[in-house]
Formats: sequence, structure tokens, C-alpha cells
Amino acid sequence: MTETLTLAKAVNSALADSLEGDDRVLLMGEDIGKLGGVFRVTDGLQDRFGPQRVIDSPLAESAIIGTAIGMSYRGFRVVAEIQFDGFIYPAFDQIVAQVAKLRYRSQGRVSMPLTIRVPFGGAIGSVEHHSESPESYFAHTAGLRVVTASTPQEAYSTLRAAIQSDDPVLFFEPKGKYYTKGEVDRSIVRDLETANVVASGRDVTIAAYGPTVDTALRAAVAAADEGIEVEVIDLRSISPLDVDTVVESVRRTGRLVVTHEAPAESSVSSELIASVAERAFAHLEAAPERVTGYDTPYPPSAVEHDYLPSLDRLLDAVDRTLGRRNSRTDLDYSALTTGAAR
Amino acid sequence: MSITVPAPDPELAAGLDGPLTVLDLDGTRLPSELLDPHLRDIDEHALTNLYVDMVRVRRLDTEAFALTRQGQLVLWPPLLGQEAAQVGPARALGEQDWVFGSYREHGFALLRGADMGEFARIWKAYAHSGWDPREIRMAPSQIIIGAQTLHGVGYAMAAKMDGADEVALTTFGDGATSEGDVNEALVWASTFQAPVVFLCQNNQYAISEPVHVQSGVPLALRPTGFGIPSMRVDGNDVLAMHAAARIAFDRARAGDGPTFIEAVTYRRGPHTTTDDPKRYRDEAEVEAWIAKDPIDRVERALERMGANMEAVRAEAKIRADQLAKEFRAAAEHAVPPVADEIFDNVYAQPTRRLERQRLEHRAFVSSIEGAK
Amino acid sequence: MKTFLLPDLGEGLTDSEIVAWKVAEGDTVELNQPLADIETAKAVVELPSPYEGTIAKLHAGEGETVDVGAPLIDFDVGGDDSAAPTADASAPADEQVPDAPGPVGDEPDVVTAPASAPETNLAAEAEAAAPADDKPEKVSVLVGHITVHGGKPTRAKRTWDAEPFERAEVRGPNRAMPPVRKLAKDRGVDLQSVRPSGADGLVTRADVEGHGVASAPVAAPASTRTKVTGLRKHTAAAMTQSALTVPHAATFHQVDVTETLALAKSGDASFLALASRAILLATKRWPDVTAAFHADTNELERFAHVNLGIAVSTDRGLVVASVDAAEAMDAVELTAQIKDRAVRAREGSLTMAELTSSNITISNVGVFGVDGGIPILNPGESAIIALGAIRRLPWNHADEIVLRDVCTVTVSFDHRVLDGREAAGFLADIAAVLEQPSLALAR
Repeated sequence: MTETLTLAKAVNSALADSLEGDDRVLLMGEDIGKLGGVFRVTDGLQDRFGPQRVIDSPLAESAIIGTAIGMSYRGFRVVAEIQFDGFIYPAFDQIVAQVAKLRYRSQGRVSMPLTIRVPFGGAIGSVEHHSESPESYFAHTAGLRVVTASTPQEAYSTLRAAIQSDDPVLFFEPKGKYYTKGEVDRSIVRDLETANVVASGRDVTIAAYGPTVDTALRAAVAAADEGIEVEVIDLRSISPLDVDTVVESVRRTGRLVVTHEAPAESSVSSELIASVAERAFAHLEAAPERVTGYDTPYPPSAVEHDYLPSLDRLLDAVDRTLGRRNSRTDLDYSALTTGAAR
Repeated sequence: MSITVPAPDPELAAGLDGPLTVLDLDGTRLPSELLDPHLRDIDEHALTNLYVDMVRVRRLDTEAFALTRQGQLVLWPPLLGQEAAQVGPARALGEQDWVFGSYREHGFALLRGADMGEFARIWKAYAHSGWDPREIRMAPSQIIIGAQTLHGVGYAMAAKMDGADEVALTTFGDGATSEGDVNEALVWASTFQAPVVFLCQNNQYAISEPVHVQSGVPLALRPTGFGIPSMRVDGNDVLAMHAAARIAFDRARAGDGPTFIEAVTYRRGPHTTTDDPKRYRDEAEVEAWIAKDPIDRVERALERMGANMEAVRAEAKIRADQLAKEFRAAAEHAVPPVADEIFDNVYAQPTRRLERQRLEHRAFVSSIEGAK
Repeated sequence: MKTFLLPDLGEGLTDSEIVAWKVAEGDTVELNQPLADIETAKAVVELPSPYEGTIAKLHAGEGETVDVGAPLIDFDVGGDDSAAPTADASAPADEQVPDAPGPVGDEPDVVTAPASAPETNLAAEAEAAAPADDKPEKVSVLVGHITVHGGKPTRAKRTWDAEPFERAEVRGPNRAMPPVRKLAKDRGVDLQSVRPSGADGLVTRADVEGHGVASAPVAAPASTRTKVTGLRKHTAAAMTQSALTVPHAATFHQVDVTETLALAKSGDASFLALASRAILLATKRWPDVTAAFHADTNELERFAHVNLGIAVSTDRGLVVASVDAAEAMDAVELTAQIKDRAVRAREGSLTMAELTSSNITISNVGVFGVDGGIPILNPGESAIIALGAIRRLPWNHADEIVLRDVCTVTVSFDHRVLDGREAAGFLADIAAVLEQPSLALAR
């Protein structure tokens, strides 16, 4: 049985079904109760499950995570919401230094089945701190699972799995896709570490996650006009990375483009390309490419479409891997050495 | 630096049994032992100026709100109802003082002299900052709740180290008082007796959450636990706010350390233009606060003082409409950023890595037919 | 005429519903006059008029959903600038847009949300031209179907004509590292026709160099110099040291190994392992063959165990891998141990101890098809045995000339430790067992 839901509503359904199925599940966050969340993702949940289980928290991100850790000690499965990606940093200590390490520090005797929901990514035309992609900070931390969703179905199935997991999970929701619709089968619960091959092709592999999966699929469609077959992989999990699936694909295509909205430096693409180089180096027909946000702060959103990966930037990179003419074919980098690029 | 921490004083908070008010709703001047000495120079002319300021601030706010609905701005956090809470303290600031505010400080920005053309660019998402912080002595608007309070304390500590006659005003909302940063700012201000003024604009809501989610006691009681004197003031009374701010600035300048002001006010509009307050509060509550409108009571006070209100209103309207027109034009004319600016000002010295990306982005843009 | 497009009234919204119109076509409106109530995914909001003028057309009815970026209202604002307070403001802004390098797709004669049309980008003219139609649509790709939103995606036109894409080659199973691929390309060698010797089907540099030289008429340079590194460099140094400091002598013996070979073919022990057994038996009678001579102290060091070194040729050079305490092993176990050392030598996974602990070495030079030679001692050892190729030769066997399997066995030795009598005795004992394996039972 499937139903057509927006991604936001799919998240809402996953939360509702989790609350329904396990009375130790509770939700906590700023404005998630009466308001139903700033994106209406938790709409109606407080009415249905009560203010004891859908808690409007004081405005303090560190406390949201810190107190959720305390609740986890008593066996609650807390689903904490951080309102926007850019607001997560006050909670950084509680996430990377506290909850991530408790299983390890207690020699496995303490479980922290905490899920941290974070709307992330740009393309919503908003102001500062509302469009960021901070996932790499957390992927760098052992003990945290970091997962994303690209479609309403993935949002539903992955969030259900995240809440059921006994590990702390950061669930990054592509807020720019909250209002896109898709079919959702609520009987499907996914695992937390396998990538999906969402389009098959022989010529080049594009690995994406979250909001860039749609961009990659659109690029695949456009590339088909030129006779180029693009394989698209939705990584789903950022940590751990499903390198196996990507390596298997690259062994067939010989070419890899990795895309995400986060900056390139020390990012998911850094890790994925390094892993593929380690394991499939001889299979690469061209240097891997990446199409990501630039290594700058998130810019004013008036120019975010220049910053964000786009269909055309992706295909430009695809052309590079195929040795076809591309925007850098005649690019003269010599100006850089003289500092004259500006 | 030698540190002297004063002993806690149970009498540190004023106004706990009712916000300090000097202008009644009907415009009657109420006596206040604490505030009156600081209002002796406020005559009809001075009050008229505060009135015009508030009318202009409100007009700017409503025009910006409309411009957002019309797609000219991407977002607007309205301050409707909070005009007195900003105008009163803003007019108590010295030219040399600094403001460290949140994102709803349009009154401060206007009165500090922010250029409206540049100011509009923030809310068109053309720029992250809408003024030169050093020129108008106001830090860029702050979206991360409460973070600016630490900056204000640090600025004040530095001013004190330099022996400068400068005070930092840091302003934030009721929700911010729950953040670690704000509580840490209070600790530091107290420990180092920094010349800083904490202005908490308690507009009753942190987006949807009423203030009792943040605190079971009046917010003005909180700082007393940190050893910081505090005043709970009617935030819709521009004179009370002005006087309280003067007290706080005088204390800071005299070397008496930090002061906390809770401005009890109300956000009549939504949190931002994307919010829907009907989901979390009753219309009756809003109506009750409309009756406490900060501008109406000044009109009544001026009437009582014998002012020619028709002329005052006309003058205020002309100036407000002029501002609105100027702001609309600024919003519509604002020059969008060029993509190349993405790469500017990330570092003091441009890095080769980033300049390479700039070059590659330019090459990509120019590879597209018809693009520039 | 001004067309007002529905802006994104929330953050990232794709559409909104018209709840109620507060004006009708033909109405005159003021700037900021409420025109409609609009419901987004987040709230019901009031739309204030962006112009002063007359409503020329309402593009949607009450209850209808309108996409962000789609036309909502046409305004007749008149040609007289002074009549409309905003006309002077909006006109220059309109003119600026085409020059502005911001998001294109905001046509000059319309007012849009600066953050309009999700998924447009600076370059995507094609997408911007098609108003956001967010109905999911199945689009055919080369493999199956993909559901995409916002119409069929197409690529922006570039400043050059797109070259047709031709799939260069069918990727076969053979892989190689980039420098080897380049080597193959330079030599005109098709990688897929090379027999790979590396792990996981990897074609090595040697595979390419050894492949179809004749069929590749590439003008070879008169000579080339290659930097000697790694194991090869180490081997060179060790051999030089050994050859220059140890007085080598050697002795040969042609041996009829027919019976040993038959044993190897019928059982679980390899010929090399059986030969090793013969050597190990001989070391019992001639223990100094495993001793080490220390020239600095003039001492002879004798060892409790025979650590039998197996010389293995690898891509990277020669290594000697030790099977420690080999004297205690039977031939089957030795077979396994020798195989293990050979495999791991080629993988490069031998331990430092395994590479340094031998005290006598066996080298099976016969695999290269030669009968023998004088091997240089592994540094620190006093004897090395080379086994030549096994050949079917006419042979005097029981006083008849018959074809027998014959192998030349060579012993090189350190003349400071052993003299000719001992070396010859050692070799004769080895030969005796190889000729008549049953002797092993007696020894």
C-alpha cells in the first residue's frame, strides 16, 4: 500500500509511526509541539501524543542533546530536532564529545539510541545559517551514524531505522525537498548503511546524497540526450560510507563524480574518492571529479545557485571524466601562480 | 586585571512587582522614584522626536513586511509592537557606544544610521550584513540565538582595558536567555565588571514558545543571581525604556559594571514572514497588547502636554512615508551580488585553493551560452 | 502592464493556494492594499498589492493552487510614471535585471521573488524558461525510467557545439595502473590481449613489456636507464657484499632423480620439498654447512636448527624466505611451507624475520630452464644449493643406457667454513638420497 506524501509529511509519518509503535520514543525540540515545527514536519503530533511525548523545549540546543542523553540512560528513544543546520553548533560538544563516545567509554554497557533530526541544505532562498550542510563535522566523529534522505520514501524508511537503531544517529533532511511529493510505502524500513543505485549506466558514476540526488538524476536524464549513460548512486549513509557499492559501480564505469552541497575540503567527497582510489585505483579511467559547494561560507542566497551543484556543473564534470570538451579545457591556471586571478 | 566581585544584593532587581512605567496607557505621566531623575530634560520637543522615531521605525517595518509578501524581500522578522523597546535605548546610546543585537533590531539599525539601500540587501539575501559595523558601531545582525551577548561583553572588557569611554549594548530576546552563551555572558560581565548593558526584549514568544517555557521567574530576576543589577521595564513605554537605558549607561560609564534591562513588550506580528502565529496564540491576546500600543500612548502624552498633534502626526507621516518610499526603492533597486563575490573576503590573504575555485567557476559560467 | 508572479512566501515552498480574492478584475488598487489571502504549507498570509493601478487579470481562482514563480496577477499601471508611486522605482529595477549576473530567468517585465524557481541555476536557461511545473513526470533514459520533477531536464547550451559521444571501448576484465596503461598505449599493446600476472587480474609493467614484442614494431631506443629501487636495490647490495667478501667455491653433481620425481608425481610432496628433505638429511652429517662465519671476530656460529631459505623470484626482485626449523618437517609439510613462502613473497607479505632468519638456501634455478650455475651465497650463510632443470637424458642405469630424469645439483660454499671435501661429501649425500629416496629411511 503506497500513498503520495511530501517529504515533510513522510518524516511526519515516520515520527508518528515510531511514537505509535514504541512508547519509549519521544520527540524534543524548539517549536515542534504547538507550532508543529517551523517546516510543519511535526504537525499534529503533540495533539495526538501529548506534550509529554512531543516536547516543546526551551531555546537551547546544547540542552536538547544533553538532556536527551540523560533520558537515553533511562531507556528513552529521543528524537531531537535541531531547527536548522546552522543552529547545531551550540550542541556540538554534546554530540561529538558526549553521545558519540558513551558506548565506547562504557565498554559497551551504555546504549544511546538518540536520533538527531537536522533540516539541511540550501536552495530555499533564505538568510544566513539556514542553508548549511554541516554533515562532515559529524561524519568525522566515530560513534555517530550520519544518514540522509533523498525522497519521501527514503525519508520515511531511513528515519524509522534511525529511531530503531541503538546508536546515536544524525538524520539530515533535505529541507529544499520538503515539499516534493513521492510514493511512500510505510511497510518499508531500511538499513542505515547501504547505498542505492538509483539509475544505471555504463559510462560514469555520480555519487550523491540528500538534495543532490535529484540533481544527479536530472543530469542523468539530460546526459542521455547526448548518448551518455550515467549511473547514479544515492549514498544514503554518510557515515559509515558504503564504499563497496561505489567501488562495484566504478569497476564497471571507470569514472566517478561525487556531488554534495557542503564544501569540498575535508568532506564526504574527500573520503569517498580516497576510498575508491584505495580500492579501485586500477579501474579508474579518469581522475575522480567533484561538484560541491565551494570552500567558502554559504553565500547570500541570491547567488546560491552559483554555489550549489547544478545539472550543468555536474555534466561539465562528467565531460571532464570522459575526456570531452568542458569548461576547463582551455583554462589557463598560470594566473594563479602570480596571484593575478582576482 | 584585578577582579572585584560585589556581594549579591537582594535589592538588585527593580520592577519585579510590576514593570517600571512612567507613561500610563492614557498618556498620564506616572511618578517613578527610580526613573524620573533621568527624564528631567525630556520636554515636548524631545518626546516628539521619540514619537517620530517610533512612527518611522513602524513604517519601515510594515513596508518591509509588505515587500516580503510581494516577493521583493526573502524574509522579514517584524518588530511591530517593539518600537519603544528599541527607540528608547537607541536614543540613550552615545555616538561612541557599540550595539550587539539579534536580527530583529531594525529600530537600532535605522537610528544608528544604517543606509537603507544597504540594509535592504540583507533581507533580499543579497548580503550577510547590511551596514559597515565600524561606521555605525553596530555588529552585523545575529541569527544564532544569544551568541552576540558574549561579543558585547568582550567588547566592553576591551574598552575597559583601553580606558575608553565606551559602553556595549547587547540586545536579545526572551528565548535567548535559555542559551548557554547568554548565561556565560552574564558570568563574564559580572566577573570582569564589564561596561555592558544587557537589553532583553521580552516579546513573550520564542517563535511559538511562550516565555514561561524559558523561565518560571521574571527574566529580570535571573541576572541578580549573577550579581548583576536588573530592571524590569514596561517595554511599550518609550520614556521608561529611555530612562532605564540611561541608568544602565551611566552605571557602565561610572565603572559600576553591567546592568540588565528586561523590556516587557510583545511581538504583534509573526516571528518572521514565514511564521503563522495563529497556530499558537489567541487573537484576544494580540488585541490586549494592541491596547498597550507604544505609539498611541505617546500621542496621548503629547496631547496632554498641549502639542499640536495634527501637525505632529502630519510631520511624522511625511517622514515615515518618505522612509517607506526610500526603502521600497532601495529594495527594488538593490544591486544583486555577482557570483564572483562568493569567493571574496573568506580570508585576509586570498588562498591559492580558493582562487583556483574562483577561476574554475568563472570558466564554467563563461562556458554557458548567453551567460556572463 | 505588470505581471506579478507568485513569490516563495515561505522558505523553499513550491506552491500556494488562493484562499480568497479581496479584489476583482477591473478594480483599482493602491500600493500595499490587501489583494488576497494565500495559504502556503506554513501559514495563511495576506498578499499586499505590489503596485498602484488596475487589476487587469487574476490568473487563478479561489481554491486553486499556483506554483511559485507562475503568473498570479496582471496589473495595468498606466504609462504615466507620476500616477504610480512605484513606477519610477520598479522600472529601473526591471531594466537592471538583464545586466545583473544574478539568477537569470527573472524576465524584465515581471516581478518575482528573488528566490524563485527551485532548481534553476545561473546557467539553466532551459529550465527557467519553462515555468515550474512540478508534476512528477516519467522520463525515459537509456536504462529504464527516472521520475523527475519540473519537466524534462535539459542541458544549457554551451559556447561550443556538443561533440557526439562515442563510447571509446568496451571495458574488458583486464585492469592496469595508469602508468602501465600509458606504457601499453605507447607500445601499441591492447591491455585486453595481455595475460595478467598480478593479483585480481592486474596487468603489470612486466606483462606489457613481455607481450608480443614482435608484433609491436615500435622503434626501441638504443638503451634505457631505469632507477633501481626497493628490493632490487637491496638485492644488488647484498649480492655485491657477498660476492666481494666471501671466498666462493662450487661443486656440481649430475643426479638421476627419476625415482624422486616419480615420488613427487605420485604423492603429496613436491619435488622441491623432497629435494629439501635430501638436503636436510645431509646437513645432519655435515652440520657446518649451516654455520655462519664472523670475519670480524673470527668466530664460527653454529645453529641449533636448520632454517631453510627458499629463493623466490618476484616482480620486485629476488627474496629468500626462511622455513625455520625445517629439519623437523616431513616432505608434505615442507611442500606447504614452501608454497606459502612463495605466495607471500610475491604478495610482499613476508615478515622481516622470515626474510632474515635462514642459514642455508635452496634455489630452484631449473624453473628457468637452465642446468645450473654458481649461485652467490645469501649473506651470512655458508652454503647454497641450486637445482637445475630436470631433463630426460640417456643414462647408464643398471648398466643399460636408458632415458632417465637427470638434474644437475650445484653447491656454492664459503671456503672459509667448508673445504672441498666437506662440500663434496654434503653434495654426494644429497645426490644419494635423490637417486634412491628409500635411503632416507636409513638415514
